[in-house]
Amino acid sequence: METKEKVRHRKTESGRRLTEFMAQSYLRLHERAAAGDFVVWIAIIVPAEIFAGFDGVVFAVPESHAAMSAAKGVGPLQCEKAEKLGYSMDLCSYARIDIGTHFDGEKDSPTFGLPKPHLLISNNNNCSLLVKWFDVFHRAWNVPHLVLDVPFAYHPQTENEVGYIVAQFQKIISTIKEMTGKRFDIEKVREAISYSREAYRWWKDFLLCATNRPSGITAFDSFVQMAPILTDRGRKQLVEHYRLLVEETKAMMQRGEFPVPSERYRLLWDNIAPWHQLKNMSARLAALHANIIAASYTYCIGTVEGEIDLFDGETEDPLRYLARMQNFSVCPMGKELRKRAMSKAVETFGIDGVIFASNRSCKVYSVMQMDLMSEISAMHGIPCTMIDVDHADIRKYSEEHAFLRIEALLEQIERVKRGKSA
Amino acid sequence: MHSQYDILPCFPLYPPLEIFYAFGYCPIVVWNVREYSNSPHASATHLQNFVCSVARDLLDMLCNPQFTTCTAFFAYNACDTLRNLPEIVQSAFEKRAKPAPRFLHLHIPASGFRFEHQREYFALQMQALIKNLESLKEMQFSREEFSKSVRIYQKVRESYQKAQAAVADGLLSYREFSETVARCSLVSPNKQCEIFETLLQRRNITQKDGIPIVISGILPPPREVIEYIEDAGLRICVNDIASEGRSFDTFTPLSDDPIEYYMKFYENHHPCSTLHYTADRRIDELLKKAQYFNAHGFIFIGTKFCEYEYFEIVYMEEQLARHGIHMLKLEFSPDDAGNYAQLKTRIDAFAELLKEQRFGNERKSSSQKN
Repeated sequence: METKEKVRHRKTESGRRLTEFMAQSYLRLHERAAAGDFVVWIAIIVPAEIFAGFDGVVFAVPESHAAMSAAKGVGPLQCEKAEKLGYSMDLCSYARIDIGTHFDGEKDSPTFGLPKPHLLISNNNNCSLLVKWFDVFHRAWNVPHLVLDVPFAYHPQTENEVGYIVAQFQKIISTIKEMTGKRFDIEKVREAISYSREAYRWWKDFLLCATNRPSGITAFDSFVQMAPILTDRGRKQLVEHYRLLVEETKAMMQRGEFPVPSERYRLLWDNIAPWHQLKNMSARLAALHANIIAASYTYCIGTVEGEIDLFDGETEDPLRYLARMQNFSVCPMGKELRKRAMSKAVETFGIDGVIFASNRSCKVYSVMQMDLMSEISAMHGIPCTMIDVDHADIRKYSEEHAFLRIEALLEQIERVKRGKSA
Repeated sequence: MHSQYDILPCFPLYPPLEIFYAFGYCPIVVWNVREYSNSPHASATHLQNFVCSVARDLLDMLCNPQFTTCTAFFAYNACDTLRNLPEIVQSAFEKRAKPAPRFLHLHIPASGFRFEHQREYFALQMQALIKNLESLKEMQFSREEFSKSVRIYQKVRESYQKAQAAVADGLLSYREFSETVARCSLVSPNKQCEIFETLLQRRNITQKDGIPIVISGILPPPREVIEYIEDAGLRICVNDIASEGRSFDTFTPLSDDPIEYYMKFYENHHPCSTLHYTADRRIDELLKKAQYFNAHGFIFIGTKFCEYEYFEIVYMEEQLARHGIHMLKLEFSPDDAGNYAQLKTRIDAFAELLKEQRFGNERKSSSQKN
């Protein structure tokens, strides 16, 4: 393919800033905990903006810590520690990394672990097993554990469900008030939400850079760049980070710098990021003129059920907005809603084929993929494939098996393209 | 299989059976039903091989032509896999050009019923379920019918408990008991009582001196493995199997109000790894029962890929060990059939360990007396 576009090889400015951002984020967390702040461990969907309503309350996100550990190559090491304690290899690798880390005194963690919690808050719509995972710490350290119960979404959230979730947020607030003796300021929550909303707006702009041909980004960029949304929701710095990310990405596109300039195959990824394969997989795909330009794992952020666009409703009541955002991830959604969102993504991004990453470490994401795959393929007339991946445990991944299927997918896409042009 | 009723397949684990029966359904809890699945397995085209046997067998059974006439099925938020399954069932029907059955649903508050908002939300859920049943069956809900249904299921639970007590006393084999429970899950509650009555008449001394143990898991072990356990001289005194003890050991006060009844039913339910709010009291209740029967052995029947069980078993093992209770962990997946003989040695060794401990204790106490 003749192209004047340049390959983007080096770490971008946004990439460097992300490293600094995350280092500062974990440093700040440890410093504030050491200074006596009240530490809450949360599952990623738990509305972090609520904690902004208190002075001296910080939150840590074990799932994000596990993802970072996997990306830094210590996933199997931490998993093995958990397995030695008796945890089955069939359990979620995030959970095993987290359990392995914390029961080994935070050793080998890229963030020096997490500060010990005073309160645990899990939720069950993204994954019910988070409740079991957090129960491990609840029992070991005798720390209270609140479960945020969010009904699974076979349909968009109903008014009854919003009310039920808001009531649970109020319970979280009253529990922290009781445990800390601190006052709660809803206006600070409102302000935090405005930062999150603004950050989501930039996030969506960033993802839309993939609509360009060739795409301005890879899904791998979005995998790594989503980290601050998990650890720093509700903070002003988040807005600035994503604003700069969009500006820099657009500037690179204007300069003709693209991650895969020879892009011929535009792919969509369905499942959690393969954290241990970010470099390998993207480089090997690029060599095949393929780019995974979008992922259900990242286009769901800032949306609600069945959508890929930014959710812009519930501007008046902060807790109602946070209740609506409880389904912003993929896993809380039923198959029909996932299919609706994926169809929109296929059309918006001009997708040629979908890689369904069947992930035995995340059954909640993976069960239903076989039907989703056949239905998406039939609806859009695009080839799809399924590969076996564990998001954080490389021991359960075979690069050659995966690429055998991916290469077959590309051949199928090529046939479809030729058929269309003929 | 009972054919004169309008069968309502219910996903495991603990569906509100009474309400369905009150509407003229024969609700059946679809688990441990491998023998009813068709070959080649329909689930292989819809579910990955790391999905547990409960879900795979369930889908296979529902795709069995005998069941494709069902007009509805029920599921609640029992676990992540089961909550994803209803839409897969509907897809499976559509792909076989069969009309998809209606999906009846209930969300059971995962954090319990202590607070007003939990009770309010559950009440709304129950009202919606009743409304759906009314429209499906074209009949009004009747308190009287519900009350009758509650009484019938109470009788079923009492019969189950008597039979389990007979197993614990060594008057009935666990194999016979477990097979009876599996058979009962597919028939009407009245028929279940009859079957249990017949079973109880067969009581005789089988295992009086057997070493008392606890058995725990989602599904009972396969027949061959039960035989190894009983042949090794082990007696099941505490039944913590989800399709057996955990399903039948809950007594709820009689009521003609389904909301009140089910709030109490779920709140006070026999603890289970899938009912998050019962997790903290689970180990205490199991220990209490084990101590009552002087059980020093615990056999964990792992259903491969059931993460709820596998998360909790580590803590359970640690706590049981503190109280001098040994654990044997076995694991089963649907494709293991025929490979059970290798487990015999492990079960025999476990039984030897427990016997040694029992005789050791007896020697110790008699020497103390002397």
